[in-house]
Amino acid sequence: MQHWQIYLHWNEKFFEELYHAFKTGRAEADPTKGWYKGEIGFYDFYIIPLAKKLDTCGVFGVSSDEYLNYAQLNRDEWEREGASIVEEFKERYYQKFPEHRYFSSLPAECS
Amino acid sequence: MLTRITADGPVSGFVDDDDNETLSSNKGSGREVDLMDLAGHSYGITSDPLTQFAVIFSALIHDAEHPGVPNTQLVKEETPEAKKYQKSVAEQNSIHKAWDLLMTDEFQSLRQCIYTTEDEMRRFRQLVINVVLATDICDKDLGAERKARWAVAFADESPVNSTPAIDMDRKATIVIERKYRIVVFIEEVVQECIISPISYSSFSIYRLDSSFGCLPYHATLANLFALERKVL
Repeated sequence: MQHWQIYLHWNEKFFEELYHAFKTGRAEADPTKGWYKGEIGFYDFYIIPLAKKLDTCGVFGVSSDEYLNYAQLNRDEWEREGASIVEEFKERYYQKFPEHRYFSSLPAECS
Repeated sequence: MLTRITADGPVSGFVDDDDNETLSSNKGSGREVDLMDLAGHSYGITSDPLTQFAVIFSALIHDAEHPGVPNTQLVKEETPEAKKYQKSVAEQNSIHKAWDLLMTDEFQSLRQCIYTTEDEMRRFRQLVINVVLATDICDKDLGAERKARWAVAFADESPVNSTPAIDMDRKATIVIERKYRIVVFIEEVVQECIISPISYSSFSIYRLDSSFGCLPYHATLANLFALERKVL
């Protein structure tokens, strides 16, 4: 429901947070495995329905359309570009935490 | 203020007490909202500044001291916060930390800008609690409650014994709660507006009528109300 660049900015931060939790033994699931499809599902079953609800209740007035349009546009752009974007997320994570590049999750007491 | 309550220490670009004008409005952003027009669509939650600020405030503090892992992990690790709150752990912790900070001498002037009476403070606090808890989208019980409230509020027919005023409050309540994702969105946009020179639409948020009452908070919020008694 926001500008594409804003969505990407915070999506990457969320990805980094969960990936770091995984890499440091504080999460069992590797977020890289389902991030691309997960975002599409999040749009289809959460964000877009929410945007439609905002439209239904009308509380944002004419802006409701704007939120729904952004959600749909972002969803389509993610479908096109998301897979490679996740790879970019991963690469930037490894640049930030190079020690995690070649190791998978370690138990918390080992990290 | 948020530089004091983020787990990773100071974050450049966050607002401080002196910057509350930035929070209360988004002047010059390109599209001003006609509040009078919105009033007709917001179920009695038209343009109360207290509610507007409560939503912005909630957006900014809703992840204060977030530990970077989900609530389920905190419960699994049996952290002190998980033992204390049990459900909506990170959200309740954020509320507590932010509220404690707001209550300090340092933010006396900010408090005086937000509310001037005990009733206003109580209403502000209720709004902040509700909005921040609504950002917990993983708690199935809370999600089911929200879904049920939406269904009742926007049902084709009003419940038995309801009145137009009650219908209005019911819609106002769930519209505020349903904006949990919008709250996150607002936080992101507010931060982006501060951090980067990108221009965004102004926010249009609402007022709760004076008849708006206390919401049925989750039982685990008893400790928050205990804090409220201490504050009062």
